[in-house]
Amino acid sequence: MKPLPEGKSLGWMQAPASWIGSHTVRFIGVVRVVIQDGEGFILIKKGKPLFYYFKQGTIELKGHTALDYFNSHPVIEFNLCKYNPDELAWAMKLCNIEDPDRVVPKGPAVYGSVSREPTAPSLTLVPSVVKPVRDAGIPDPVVIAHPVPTVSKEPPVTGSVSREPTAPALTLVPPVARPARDTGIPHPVVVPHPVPTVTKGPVVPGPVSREHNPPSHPVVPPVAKSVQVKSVPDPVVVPQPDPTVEERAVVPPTVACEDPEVTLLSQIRDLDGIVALAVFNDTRTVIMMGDEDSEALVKIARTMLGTARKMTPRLPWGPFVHMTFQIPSGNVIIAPYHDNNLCLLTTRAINIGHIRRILRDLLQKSVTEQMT
Amino acid sequence: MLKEILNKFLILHDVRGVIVVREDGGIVESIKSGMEYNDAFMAAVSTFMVGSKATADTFGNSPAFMVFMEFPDYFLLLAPLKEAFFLLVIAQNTANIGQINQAMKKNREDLVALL
Repeated sequence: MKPLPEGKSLGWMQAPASWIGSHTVRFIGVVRVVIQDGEGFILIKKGKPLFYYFKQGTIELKGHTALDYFNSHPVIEFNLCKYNPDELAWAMKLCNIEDPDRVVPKGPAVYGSVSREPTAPSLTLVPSVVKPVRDAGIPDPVVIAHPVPTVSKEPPVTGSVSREPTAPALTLVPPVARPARDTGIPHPVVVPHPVPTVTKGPVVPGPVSREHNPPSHPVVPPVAKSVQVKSVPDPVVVPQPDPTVEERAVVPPTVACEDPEVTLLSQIRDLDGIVALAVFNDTRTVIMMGDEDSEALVKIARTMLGTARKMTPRLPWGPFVHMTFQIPSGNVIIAPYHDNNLCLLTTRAINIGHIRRILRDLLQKSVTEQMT
Repeated sequence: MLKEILNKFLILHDVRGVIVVREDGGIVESIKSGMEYNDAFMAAVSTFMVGSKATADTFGNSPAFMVFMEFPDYFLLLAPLKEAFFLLVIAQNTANIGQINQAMKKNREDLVALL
């Protein structure tokens, strides 16, 4: 598999893997995941995960196995990268999956010359997870003898078929042992029918930008405070009418609601002149979008916030609305944001009036929510 | 003479106070209209200056900085004049920031000359 299209980065975040599925209802793109020294991705189309992938060293995980691995971490660090339709189509092609929304007629048997290359069992191609040195929560590899799929079990096909064969899930998805200390992780699901895993050719994960330096402080769940790992439902494979197409997509249940918070923050981040965005509180950075040094930015923001907090009670003007600190190279803007604080790093060219309007709207919305 | 220049700011729509202040919070000159410079306010100004300086220090080399701080009905605009001297404008949110900035550009040299 070749590297996936880069897409447009919306920023890095830290959250439980379950948070991704429930907050990306309108998102189309790839979520690049970095865990320890490994990298992976979740290809998403409007909240529907199309493909899970993770690679650490020579170990590769796909589908449910990768999802289980993501879920085995209370919080993962990831970068939301938006795709346009062409990029999505290309990424899906690279992942060897087809659009689940596409209606594929249940055609009769295809005639012509058969070109069926049996897929080798996954044991040889997809080793189990190697426990990272620093992570005690990752299960030890489990080696299971997998039966080699035989063509005779397949429905009879005559004529030419250019479809790539898929092996039964049992042969392709090495189970991941459940970490003993984590009770909230769902058990690996044994899928009773073929599961799409791309095993042909060298498998290379999508490019994950490592320019971003994850903060050294302990990672914490962001806005999705209420989302806990234990609430992650077991992945469900929805019965699909056409196994040649539909079974390629691992489809956990999607959450119908959209998180306006992420949408709003992404919209702000996308404004011209916004370099980085952070949501922080006294103890931690909740959300960071942008490639700037998050610790340095939040440190400055906390200093500003400290000033605002000391001043506000001495002035009879009501609550602090926002503060902009302008230096020759740009602006740092802070404002209260729900129970946290919002920090924006901007260029000097930005329209401060526009930012003020946005911040006022945020504050009003926050006050309204508190009242209700 | 300094007050005359500060008055050019005070006559702008909904500007309520203008202060020339040192970076340590010390007041050099001030005028006001429709508000009181009580002890609490002066303490807040001092905190504003010290806190802003501390923030500037985190950028390194203490760059020239400008600070805009907004409350529901009022805002503070702090602009550098010369080395450790700043101009602080207190205005209602209905004031025109563009006008204030323009007045700063026009009168900055005169203000600096008097410091």
